[in-house]
Amino acid sequence: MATRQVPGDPSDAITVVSLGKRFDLRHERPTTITQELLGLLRPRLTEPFWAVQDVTMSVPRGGAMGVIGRNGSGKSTLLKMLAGTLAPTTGTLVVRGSLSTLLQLGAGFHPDFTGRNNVWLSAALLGIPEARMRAGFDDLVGFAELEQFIDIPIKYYSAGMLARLGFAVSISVDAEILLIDEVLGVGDLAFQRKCEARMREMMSGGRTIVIVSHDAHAVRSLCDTAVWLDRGHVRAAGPADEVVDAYEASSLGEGPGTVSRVRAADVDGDGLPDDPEDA
Amino acid sequence: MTVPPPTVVFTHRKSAWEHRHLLFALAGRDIRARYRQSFLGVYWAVLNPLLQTLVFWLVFSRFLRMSAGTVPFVVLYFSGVIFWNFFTTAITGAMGSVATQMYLLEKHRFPAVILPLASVLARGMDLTVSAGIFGLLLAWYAMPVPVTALVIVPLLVIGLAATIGISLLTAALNTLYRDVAQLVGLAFTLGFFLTPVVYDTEAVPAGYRTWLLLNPVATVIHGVRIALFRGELPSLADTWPGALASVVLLAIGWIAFRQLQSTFTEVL
Repeated sequence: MATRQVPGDPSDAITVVSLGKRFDLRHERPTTITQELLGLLRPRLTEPFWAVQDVTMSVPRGGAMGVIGRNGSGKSTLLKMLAGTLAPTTGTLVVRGSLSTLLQLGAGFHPDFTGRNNVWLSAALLGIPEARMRAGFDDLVGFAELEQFIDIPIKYYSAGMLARLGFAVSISVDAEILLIDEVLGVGDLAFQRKCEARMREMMSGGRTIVIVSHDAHAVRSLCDTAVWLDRGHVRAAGPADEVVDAYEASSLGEGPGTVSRVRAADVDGDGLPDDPEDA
Repeated sequence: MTVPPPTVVFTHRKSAWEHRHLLFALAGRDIRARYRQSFLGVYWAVLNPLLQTLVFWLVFSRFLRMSAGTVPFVVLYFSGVIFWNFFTTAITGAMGSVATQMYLLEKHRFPAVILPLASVLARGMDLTVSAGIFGLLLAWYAMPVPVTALVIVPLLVIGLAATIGISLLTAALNTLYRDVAQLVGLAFTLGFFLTPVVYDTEAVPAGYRTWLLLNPVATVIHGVRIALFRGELPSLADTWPGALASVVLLAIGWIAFRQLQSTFTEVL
């Protein structure tokens, strides 16, 4: 193993070269033997779909990179490959260092169990050593502001409470690389500030962070570099500000962005864009 | 279109051993989940075999006055059914463990094999409780426990290997075909009669016995009864076929699971 050549620059935490992920979309997945046997006789009705294609990027150790793009652009597929839960179809992927993932808040939480119970299971899923968890448990609950509610089943939690608990568990991992998926836009403003502060603290401690989000604000304020994914391909990459600007400019020009701008400007409520002279 | 195969390097991938407390955490959750929102909670684990024993005692020892030699029938039955119950409930739990907890595999990086293993481990609690009640039953009938009872340890290893093997195989196949559950249900119904639970292996003609003892659960029950009730050790000839079958089952389950696990998270 030691003699194996690891591709890429060793000072990078993550190296990705021409990475691709293909799903074979079967229009009707055979789930019974009869269907499977019939499927052997007929040509397979599968359609290749590249969720991520030819993506090349790298994140230096201690860097913070944002991945932005619209829904279905391949952001989450890319993050799952980085997290190691999904195997790429082609290309090179090198992750140097211990890894923790914050993929959707409270992934693995069970609604019928208490907050305390779920924290312990999540900690085990994330590979946090038991001794460290025991020592840090009260701090974690304090950070999530859930001291009063930690012993009630989480099905009674609000979305914000769940989000706070999920975030608090994930950041208690002492990993060198942290992958974060669509989680910064949750909680109230005060909690968001607290999360950002905590992320900055972790970054200054030399940790590498990859944030996947369509929240342009989070990417702009936390990341130094960004990659803009569009239908599985890299549309732009570079300094976070520039990439986010280009992304925002493009989103406003097409799709849902246009609608919201019209609505925002519709002050007189007639359903039509306001005449500039009315304002 | 052919594409070059991927090169993937994770410098800090955790081993299954480093995930061991996940195994215990999942097993603990499995146990708690079974008794959640029930007033008696974990006491069901004791109450269940206790009430079963009471009914069997009533039917077999009082109504039918059955006995197997010097051994009261309820003791004979209990010495078999605790292993049969462990075997079937462990496999039933493990069978769905991957399919129902796919969301964990998609979000977290840990060896998938932990899911069925945790299900089997969780049933170890029921086995322990049942064994305790069986101990009380032996005390009630003033039956001494001979030193040969220690042979239960290697016998349990044989039974556990078969249980884990079938658990891995069914858990992996169940992600692809849901009819695995139907098949296993049928196999358990028939298997109950092909395992010496309600009868003693001594009652089976020698020609059939060799075949019967290819069943690892039969091997365990046969061995335990000889050790407990006769104070002897089960013969090697009676033990090796089941032991071999266990090893084969474990190998098949392990290989099948390894082969199929890369497809678990690919199902869209």
